[in-house]
Amino acid sequence: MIPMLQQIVQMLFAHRLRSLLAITAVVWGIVSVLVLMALGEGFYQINARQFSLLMSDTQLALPEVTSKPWKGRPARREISFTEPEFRLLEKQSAIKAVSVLYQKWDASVTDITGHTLPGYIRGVDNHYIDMRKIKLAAGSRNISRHDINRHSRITVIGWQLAQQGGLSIGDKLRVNGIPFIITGITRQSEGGMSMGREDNQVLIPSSTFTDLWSDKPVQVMVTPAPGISGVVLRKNLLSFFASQKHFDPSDKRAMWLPDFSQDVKFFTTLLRGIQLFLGASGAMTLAVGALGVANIMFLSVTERTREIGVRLAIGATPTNILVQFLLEGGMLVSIGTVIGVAVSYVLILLMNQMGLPDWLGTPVISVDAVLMALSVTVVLALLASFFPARRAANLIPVTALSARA
Amino acid sequence: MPLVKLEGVTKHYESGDESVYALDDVSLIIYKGEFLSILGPSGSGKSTLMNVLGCLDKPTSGFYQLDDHDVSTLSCNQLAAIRNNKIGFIFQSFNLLEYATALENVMLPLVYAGVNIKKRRAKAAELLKRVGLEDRMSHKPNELSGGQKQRVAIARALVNDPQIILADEPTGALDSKSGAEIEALFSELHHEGRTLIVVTHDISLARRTKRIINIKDGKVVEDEILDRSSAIYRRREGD
Ligand SMILES: Nc1ncnc2c1ncn2[C@@H]1O[C@H](COP(=O)(O)OP(=O)(O)OP(=O)(O)O)[C@@H](O)[C@H]1O
Ligand SMILES: [Mg+2]
Repeated sequence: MIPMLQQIVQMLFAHRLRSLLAITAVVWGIVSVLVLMALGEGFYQINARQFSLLMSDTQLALPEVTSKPWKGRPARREISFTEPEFRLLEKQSAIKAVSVLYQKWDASVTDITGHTLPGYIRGVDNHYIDMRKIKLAAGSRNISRHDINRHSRITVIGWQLAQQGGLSIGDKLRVNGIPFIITGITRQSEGGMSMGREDNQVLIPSSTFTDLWSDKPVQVMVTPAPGISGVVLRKNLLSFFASQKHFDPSDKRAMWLPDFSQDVKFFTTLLRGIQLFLGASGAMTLAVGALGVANIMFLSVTERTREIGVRLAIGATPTNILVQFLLEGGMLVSIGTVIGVAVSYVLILLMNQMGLPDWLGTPVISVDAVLMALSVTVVLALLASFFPARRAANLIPVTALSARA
Repeated sequence: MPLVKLEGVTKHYESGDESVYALDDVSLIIYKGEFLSILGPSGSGKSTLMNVLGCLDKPTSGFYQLDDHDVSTLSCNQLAAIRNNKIGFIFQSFNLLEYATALENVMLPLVYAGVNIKKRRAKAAELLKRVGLEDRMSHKPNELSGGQKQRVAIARALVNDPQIILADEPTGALDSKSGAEIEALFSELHHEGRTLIVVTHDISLARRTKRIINIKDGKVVEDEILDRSSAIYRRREGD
């Protein structure tokens, strides 16, 4: 095996140009697959992150206006949720967690010296941050149940607000003059993208919010218990609020329970489809690369027919010849693959450093992509070398020897 | 017991509507230690006979026995093994691997014989020394003269200690001086007791051999023993 490999390296080196061409073909294919897949993955991730709420199983419930009369009450009543209902809702078996959301756009947010900051207030429960899949920077403390019960004056703020106000964990800011201690800062989303107003929010405990303002909740967010589907959850929520707020449970206008599942399905399919398309384009390029290798291997067999004859004449078995050519092809493809993967990583690194348009996200080479590219390459390499190798192995010594050198 | 036994060996080529008998009912017995030359006009079937003897080609019909083996019944791999360790083939055009050094070329049969690298090196070096090329071991064929190339090829043919050495016009591509050196080498090999079969147009080489076979149109037309003093031929007489 070792002398075999040594011979093969010698061989490939003796035919430098040809080997180089074959390797280039493979490198080109691998780079196409990996870079295209990486772009697809980055695109998928940035979009998936932006629509993370859509894509989670969290259900929103927004109060609206009734459209039907019910048990002596007239239609067109405005519905609003109240705190005790949420506590009741939380106890339902179909429900894992509930968070209310209050919002105040016009509160004054200043730093400790009185400078105005562009923040706005959201009153939330302890589950909110998890439900929205918001990531916190190191050293942050989430709003806890305890904070809700104690009406704590603490806040978790968006990273952009923290940056603009030069605020860090442990600092204070003022909301309508009242000091709040910053216990947490959200983590900046990768790629430096600002995702709407979220990055300027000032999250405070819902109980503290209701102490300051008498606003009605804008929405409730509900996470279902394990095994509860969106359909069942929405039915549950509707009948719960219908009995609490006395409206017709068949009145679809009283509450808005958005169902994003179809959109999410469409959206993920679309994103995955784009990625698949990119991957397939790359795989095609790789296949062309493999054809190049096969072509060069056939050329090699034809050109070296006489050498094969010599080897057969001095005692090589057809298997020896087959293995030699398979290894030669395999070696070319392996070298090409290693270089291709390395080049892809460097290219992606460069792309990320140069900065790509935000909508493209951050391209990443996933392990899956590498494994896929590798398995495709192995199959193609075997196919590309097998047929030329078999042709070489089946030569009759005397015919091979009479070929032109 | 003979080393080589051919009985009614025929090689028949069909090209278009023309049919050629390159070998036509050839029967031949060769004993161990013989030094034999095959003569004949161009196209008479000398190379075809050598290729059959060297297991590089299969006869269309007939029986070929080499050292106990009925060659026509052997598989590809068994034939490869025979070519590897029973036969040493020397070609007119040397047939060395261009990208490998003299030493590597001589080592190659040992690679296929599965000999380890240390022994391979030692054995190949010993044989290159034997043919007088100890100072050319790491030269590639294109850095060697024709005579030197042929000596590398002879070293390669000898490296597995074959029972029979086949040479198809070994001096055909050489100038007379290099040719004479190769002839001398062949005589030495004969005196070492090796079996040599040489196809040649070269009368001086043929004269060194102990038996001359003449071929014409694929048939053995003459089989002449030159040196009846040697033990092999005395025994042969008794057959
Ligand atoms: N592959 C082949 N197909 C058809 N005919 C062939 C083939 N090989 C050899 N022959 C024919 O067989 C005959 C014997 O050829 P061979 O090569 O054995 O002659 P030779 O005696 O070695 O001649 P030379 O002295 O020129 O080398 C020739 O007539 C040749 O044309
Ligand atoms: Mg000939």
